[in-house]
Amino acid sequence: MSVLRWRALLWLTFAFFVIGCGLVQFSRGVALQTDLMALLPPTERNPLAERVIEKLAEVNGNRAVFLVGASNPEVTGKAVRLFAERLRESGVFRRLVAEMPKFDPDQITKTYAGYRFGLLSENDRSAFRSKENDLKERLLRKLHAPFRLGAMFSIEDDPFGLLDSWFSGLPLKDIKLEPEDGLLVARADGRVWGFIFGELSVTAYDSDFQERVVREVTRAENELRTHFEDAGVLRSGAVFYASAARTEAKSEMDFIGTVSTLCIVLLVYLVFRSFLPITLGLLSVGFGVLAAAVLSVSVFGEIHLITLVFGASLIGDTIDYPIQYLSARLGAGKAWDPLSGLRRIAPGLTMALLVGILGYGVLVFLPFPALLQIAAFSITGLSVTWITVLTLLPFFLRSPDSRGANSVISFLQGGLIWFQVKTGKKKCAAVAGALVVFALPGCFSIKWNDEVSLLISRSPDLMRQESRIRDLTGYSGGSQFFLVEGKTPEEVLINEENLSAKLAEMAAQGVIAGFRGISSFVPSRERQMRNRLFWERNIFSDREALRRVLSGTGLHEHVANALIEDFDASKNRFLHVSHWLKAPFSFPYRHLWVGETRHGFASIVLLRDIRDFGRLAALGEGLEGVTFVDKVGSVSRLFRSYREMGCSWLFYAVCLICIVLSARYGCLQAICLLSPALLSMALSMALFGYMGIPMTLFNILSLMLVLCAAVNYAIFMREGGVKVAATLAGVLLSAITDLLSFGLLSFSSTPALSGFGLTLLLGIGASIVLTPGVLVFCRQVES
Amino acid sequence: MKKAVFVLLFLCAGPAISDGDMLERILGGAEQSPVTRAKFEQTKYMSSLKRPLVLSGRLTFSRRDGILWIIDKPYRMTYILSESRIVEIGSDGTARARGQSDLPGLTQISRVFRAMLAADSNALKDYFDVKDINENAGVWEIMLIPRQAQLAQFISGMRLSGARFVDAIEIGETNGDRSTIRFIGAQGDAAPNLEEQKFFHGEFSEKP
Repeated sequence: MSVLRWRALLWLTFAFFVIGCGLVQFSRGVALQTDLMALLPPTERNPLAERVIEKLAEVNGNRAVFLVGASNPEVTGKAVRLFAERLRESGVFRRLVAEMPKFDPDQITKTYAGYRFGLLSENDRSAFRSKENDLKERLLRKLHAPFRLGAMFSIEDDPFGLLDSWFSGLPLKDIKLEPEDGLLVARADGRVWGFIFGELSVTAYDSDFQERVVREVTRAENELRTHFEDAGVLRSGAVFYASAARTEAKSEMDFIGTVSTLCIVLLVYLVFRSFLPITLGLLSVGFGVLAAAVLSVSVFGEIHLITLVFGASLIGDTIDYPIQYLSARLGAGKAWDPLSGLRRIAPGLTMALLVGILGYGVLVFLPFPALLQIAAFSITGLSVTWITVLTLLPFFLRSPDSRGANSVISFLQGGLIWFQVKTGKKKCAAVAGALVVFALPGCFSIKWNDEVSLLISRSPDLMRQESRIRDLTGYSGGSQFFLVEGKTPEEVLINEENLSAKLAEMAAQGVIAGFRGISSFVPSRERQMRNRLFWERNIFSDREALRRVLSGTGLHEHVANALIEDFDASKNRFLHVSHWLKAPFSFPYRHLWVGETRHGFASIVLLRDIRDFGRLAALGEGLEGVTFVDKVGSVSRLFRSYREMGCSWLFYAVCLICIVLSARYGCLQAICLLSPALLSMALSMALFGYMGIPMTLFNILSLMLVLCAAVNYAIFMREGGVKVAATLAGVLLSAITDLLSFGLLSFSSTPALSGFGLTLLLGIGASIVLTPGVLVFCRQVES
Repeated sequence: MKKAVFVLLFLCAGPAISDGDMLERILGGAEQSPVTRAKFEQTKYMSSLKRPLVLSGRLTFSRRDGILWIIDKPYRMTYILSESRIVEIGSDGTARARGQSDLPGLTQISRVFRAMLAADSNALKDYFDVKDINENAGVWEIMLIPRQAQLAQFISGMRLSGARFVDAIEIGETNGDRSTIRFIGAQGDAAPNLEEQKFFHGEFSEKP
């Protein structure tokens, strides 16, 4: 007795320690990681690219964008102001911009006017014919236009419209919003939409804050509807995605957790007909999951949503250990001794734990932060439950359970004994052979999927709103861009200009819709000098002709004089990035300039609507200082390479498990124990193939768990046999709880998790049916 | 006469009736045919010009297709302005088309110009405040000032006058330049003729 007490005390000490740690951690609040991008590993070879991605994500992460629409501009104006006012009052935004500061288009022309002889559009450079007639024609066009076409340079500054055409080439036009009545407005389908931009006062990934933001925005939206029936709001921002993902994950976790707990309680009760086993089972599992959460938080500093959802399904996995011990007790009847019973099942349990650790341990070697957490969580959960079964349970299960097996189990037992008597090795081998023949074509017709969206499930409603906002405003936040580097700002601009020339070709061919880079706003000094040379040769070389053209169309003499004077005076004046960064109108584009880096300077070029990633990637390879950064693409490539590697790991894992099993059971029996697992894996892959559902890296990972679970059943069956009905009940119960919790996981909205769940459901289902075959090969019929 | 009585009533009614409403009443009398043709004479007063620039030509305004603005003197020059693009055909016959993507704000300019020619009170109200309004025996004159910063950058004010059609537009620019357009012999029609359709649909010949 004292041994049992010592063990229980040991557990209690451990439990106090874990609970103490938990209390300390949870009192500080658990950091729940809701940033979906945090799931993705660093993928870029260029470390600067990774930093720039992070910086962009951070900037975007704290932004929220709204469009408030109504069918007439007056209502829109009022609605936008009311909505903005409510959001401002709520205090969740550090900065909220609805009304635009008086934007002065002339300010742009004024900024550039001093540097105008260094500016020229590529089109004019090639089309200009340098004739007096050509100059005159250009002047007449500008002079005779019936109306002024927006922000144009004056006749005095730009008589030939060369600057106007350079200016119209600026990527200002990507943005479809127009200033109107103090707001930025977009019109479509008879509705007028006003633009509101906000910066959150706290990071978007703080859970409590997320809830507050969503609550305040929804409240403002509801109030808006009571005032203006016709008004509508579109929202976009990382904070909404994160909040939706959190709500979704929470409801999934609650669903999986509740349903699997309830079913387990029911099943355990059906088999053991007593509340003590239920209490002990739940205690072991609950403590295991708690310890796993505590460890994850202390190691990683946070828990990711995906870990929680997966963790909920771990309940069904860990319950196996207490069930094994409980059924041993049920089977022993009056002869029960808690320690000798433990001794009998301990090797099987330890084997199962080792296999589990091997299975989840594989995840540790993948570079995905989320999977590492899942692995740590699962391994801790399993180990701690194993410890609980070995130390605490014997103390509570001192007295024997003398009621024996009930009718459900006896029936199953009868079935299995019949199976064992009737089927021989030949029949089993024939069935196995037939299954292999059935599975092979399916396995070969498998399609693969390596998309990032597997790991990141985004709310479809929010995605719809975001794409509508993108259509209306012309803003696009793709994760693909070019990173341009150079030793000096000038070198960056030169490299970017080389890139822009190629991109312009690609835009003409429809590979991309457009691009935005700083060199469009600020040409390199080299190019400015070249442009100046062009002005010099074509316009200012024959100054008499220039005067003739200008005065011939009726312009004052002083126009020509001032033009010539300006040209001569601006000889050594060049536009520099720093000038541009200081100008107020550059504000929406300043993020294009990364600035000083460890190796020099850098900028980024953003792309719109990419239709051919391959060609862009190839472009990045051939140009000096240019890197094509495609986070989504590189994660997909990573998925692919790990999926391919995963297949070979699966093979090594099989070999490893075979060696471990051979050590205890001998080589031949080890192969027998493994074959139901191998067949189950083949069958579940084949079913994916036949159903046409693409398989992913995550299916491969779950096959690893199918392998572990199926080997466990084989071990339990081999150790317990069918003679002891209770042991058999234990094995079946384990299988059913596994099936249940992983089956529930297949309902998850995250494709990675649901794929995981479905593979396990199919694989474990198959292994339950196939495992009795082990009896035929590995154990003599016990009459 | 009836209209004048209305105007009087509105004036007596005091501040309850806004200038915007009045604009609507007055311009409601302007003819709303689908196509209007007129000759025009535009005089541009610009500080950089030695003497005012006088341009004359003809104009077709189609509510559906846009504006066809053909200058005959002193040089043949054609501008076709629709909601989304502007095509210029120069004196040498070369055409140059620019869309919304080349000219930010083109849509807005196009809308303002069409609102002026159509005397469309609703559209005008979106962009302008009524500064002064006069009406006498069906002949009206309206002074407008831009409401929006973007227009106010280059337009200081506008004067529209007319009766059945808009007869004259005077546009004052912020830099002191100004331009007057007089319309002569305006005629309503049901649809653009064949030649005009060709221009609107971009099937113009490259030669003038």
